[in-house]
Amino acid sequence: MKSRIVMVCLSFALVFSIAYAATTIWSTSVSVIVTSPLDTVKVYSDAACTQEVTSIDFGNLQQASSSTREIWIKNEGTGTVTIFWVSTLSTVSGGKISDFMKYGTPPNEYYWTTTGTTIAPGIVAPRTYGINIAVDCPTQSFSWTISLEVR
Amino acid sequence: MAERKVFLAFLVIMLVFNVTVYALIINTISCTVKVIEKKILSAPQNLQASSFPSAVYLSWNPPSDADGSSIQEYRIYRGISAGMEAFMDSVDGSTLEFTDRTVSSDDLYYYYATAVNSAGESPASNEAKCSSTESIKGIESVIRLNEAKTSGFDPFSIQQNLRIYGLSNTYWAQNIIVVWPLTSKMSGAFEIYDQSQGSLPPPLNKIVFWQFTISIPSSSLKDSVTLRSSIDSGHLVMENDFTKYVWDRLLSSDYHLDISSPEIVVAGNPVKPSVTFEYPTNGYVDTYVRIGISPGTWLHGSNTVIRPPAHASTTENSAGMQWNANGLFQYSAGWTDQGLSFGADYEKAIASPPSVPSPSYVPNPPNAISVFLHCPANLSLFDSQGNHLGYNLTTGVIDQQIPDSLCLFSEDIQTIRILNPSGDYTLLVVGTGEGFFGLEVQWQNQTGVITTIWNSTGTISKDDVTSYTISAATVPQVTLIPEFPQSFLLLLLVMTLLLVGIVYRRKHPFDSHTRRPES
Repeated sequence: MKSRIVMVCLSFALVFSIAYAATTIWSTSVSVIVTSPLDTVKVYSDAACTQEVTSIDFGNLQQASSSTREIWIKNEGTGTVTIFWVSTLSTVSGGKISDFMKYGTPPNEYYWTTTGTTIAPGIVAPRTYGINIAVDCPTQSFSWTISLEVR
Repeated sequence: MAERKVFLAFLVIMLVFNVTVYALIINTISCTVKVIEKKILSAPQNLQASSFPSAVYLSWNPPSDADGSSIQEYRIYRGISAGMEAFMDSVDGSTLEFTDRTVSSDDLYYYYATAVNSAGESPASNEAKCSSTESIKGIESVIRLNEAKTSGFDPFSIQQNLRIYGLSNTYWAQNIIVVWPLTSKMSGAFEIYDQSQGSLPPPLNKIVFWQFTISIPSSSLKDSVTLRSSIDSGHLVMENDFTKYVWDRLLSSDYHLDISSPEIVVAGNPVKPSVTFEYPTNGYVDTYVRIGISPGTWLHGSNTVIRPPAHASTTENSAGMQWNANGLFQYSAGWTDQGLSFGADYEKAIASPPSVPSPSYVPNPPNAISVFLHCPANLSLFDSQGNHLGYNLTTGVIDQQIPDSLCLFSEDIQTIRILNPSGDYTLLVVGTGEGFFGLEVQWQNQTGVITTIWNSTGTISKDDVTSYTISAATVPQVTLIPEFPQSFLLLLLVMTLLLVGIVYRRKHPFDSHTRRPES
């Protein structure tokens, strides 16, 4: 009888220990990617939104140079969303390459920084994505990702 | 459906394991770049120079290795001989053209371009040479109001004919800008009918022409319009403004100027012409009517501010007006607006010189007539042939066109002397200010005896005109017929009646028959 009671106690302790450990481990992993079913904001390379963009190749760029690409972000869902953009470029380049997102035309040109951009359903937001390469940037290839997020 | 189950399962897991989601990534783009060593660019490619009126147009292609490289600017070099180019100007790195507007016609110029990046300036491009074509000599614009307009209240249209001189090539005109109104007193709008609407206008040749019509609604009362014509050939832009006053067109048909009821009396009395000016009944204009006896000198005139449609005509009646020696009468009418005058001066013979009354007999023919004037006035005399002696009201100089005459003018006295006079003379005294008036006429007979045949005193005012006729006909006689003021004649009549009454009373004193019986 005593051994059964001990077994039950050990079993409960094991279960709770595993549960506690798992909960503790997972709760520290906060970078969770959810791509579906909310994948309703798409990026295109043309104003008519016919060519979807999944990658951008800036080709060969010299040190101390810059380059830009035009993109169009369209909300193809049914609800208004406020999106933010995040890039890993600064991390992968050690700060030698910076990137930016801007919109408008001079003299009414603005940079899309840390504030969100609210896009109504069906609306297209044109943006210019660009990079600036420092003069002392290592001569090598770099790969990075830019993400559009809903927070 | 399967996605929804997966999503719900994920939510359960998140709840069980206390997962915190702080961002939902909805799209990702992967990017790549290869950073290469900084170096200067190769030269711009295919530099070409094209001729334009008063300009040379340059275009080029980017350097072959510019792909992925940031071009800061392109630099343009120019010279008047090959290999002697010097820096002239620069454009930003995204521009692949340049227009040199500082060229002289028909001069040959040499050009090359370089590309500049952060590493420095590229080698020179190929050399291109070109001379500008003939210059645009100007733009001529004729603005015309439509013919159907009859009054200022009617809708009207303006047609502009535009000619561009100096173009031998073909250019496209693109922008026609109508600026309306610069000086309007009321708001309004245009309708623009452009023949080229919807497509580019016809090409412009050496003498180019096209037309369009601007229709102005009737509710818009405008005193002027300005059309701005802009010629944009793609590389050259020329603009020109043309201002036209609406009433200008009305000059030819909508006003009427006439002399009405000129009162012509025999010599010694003035003619009294009046000028009636029927002006447009619409418009914010200042009208005037002037009359005079010599070109450019207006003895009487009026200026009236017209506010339509209150007035239809204005009349200037000059009681003191007389004809000049030629029987000609000057008149002028028109209007002024925005500092511009519209109208014209006219000269018209309204009457023949009046006939000379039968002269009185003079025993001895004179061999000289002298006229002396003491007053703030100008003395002027015309003979029957129109020759003038004295102060010329138009030119401001003293004429001495009559043979054997003498003219002596000083500040105090003006003297005219005619030797061997014959025929009729018209004497004019034109007041130049306020003051006392003294005129004396003398004649000298063949024996040298000088006799004052007439003198007159009084006051005179500025622009007062008094005319006299002196007749020295072929018979030995001199007749002087002065103009007597009506007040003088009235005074003379009163004095005469008073004198007659005194004489009568002296001859017929009061007697007992006329007295009331004593009580």
